[in-house]
Amino acid sequence: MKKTILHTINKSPFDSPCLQQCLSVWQEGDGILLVENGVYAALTSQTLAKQLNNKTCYLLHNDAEARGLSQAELIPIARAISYDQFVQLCTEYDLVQSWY
Amino acid sequence: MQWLYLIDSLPSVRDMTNFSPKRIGFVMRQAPYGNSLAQDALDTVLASAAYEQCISLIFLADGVFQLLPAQNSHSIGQKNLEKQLSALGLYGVEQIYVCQTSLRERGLSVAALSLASAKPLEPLALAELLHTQDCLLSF
Repeated sequence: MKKTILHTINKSPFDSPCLQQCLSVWQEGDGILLVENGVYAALTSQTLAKQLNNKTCYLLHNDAEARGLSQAELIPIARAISYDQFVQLCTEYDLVQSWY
Repeated sequence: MQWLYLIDSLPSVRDMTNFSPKRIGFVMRQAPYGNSLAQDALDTVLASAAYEQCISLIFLADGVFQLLPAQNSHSIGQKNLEKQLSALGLYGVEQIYVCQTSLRERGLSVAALSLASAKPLEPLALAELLHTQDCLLSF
C-alpha cells in the first residue's frame, strides 16, 4: 500500500544536500517540514525554494524566529507551525523520514 | 531465568515477537568510517533481522560508498564494514537496493560493488520503495 511520508530536514540547503536528496524521492501526498537550520531552505532567494512551491511545506516557527527570519523573507507556501503541531503532523503522516 | 521476565515486560519486544513482521526500510546515506552511522545501522539491521522483520536496505547518496570492495579498515582501528555487510545473507537480509543516480554521480557501477545482490534502482523506483515501508530508519 502506498503511504505518505513527512520528510523532516534540519540542515541548511547551502551547506548540505539533504533538501536535494529529499526532493529526489518526494511523492504526491508527502509533506516537507523544515526544522533547525533547515528553515533556511524557505528563503525566497534559495535556489531550490521554487521546487517547494507546489508541495505541502511546513517550517518550525520557533526555529525561524530564533534565526531572525521574518515571514517576508520566506516563501509563503511554507506554513509556520508550533512544536505541538510538529507532533500532530508526525501522527498524521504514515511515515517520517528525517534527512539530517 | 529472571531476564526472561524482564524481556517479557518490555512491550516493544513482545509486540515484535507476537505480531506480523513489519517492513522496515533502512536508509543509508552516509559514507562509512567518518562517523558511526554505518556501523550503527548494521547493528540495528542485525537486531531487527533477529526478530524476523522484513528488512530492506537502501543505499543512497554517499551511502553507496559503504558498498565499495577492498575495504581494509584495520589501519584506522575500525571494524571492516564490507565483511559485515557480506554476512547479511546469513541473517536472511536479502533485499538490498542502491540508488543508480548516486552511483552515477560518483563514477561507480553496480557491477563493481562488494554485494552482488544489490539491486540498482532509479530515483522513482526508489521513491516507490520508500513509500511502501511500514517504518523508515534513517542513518
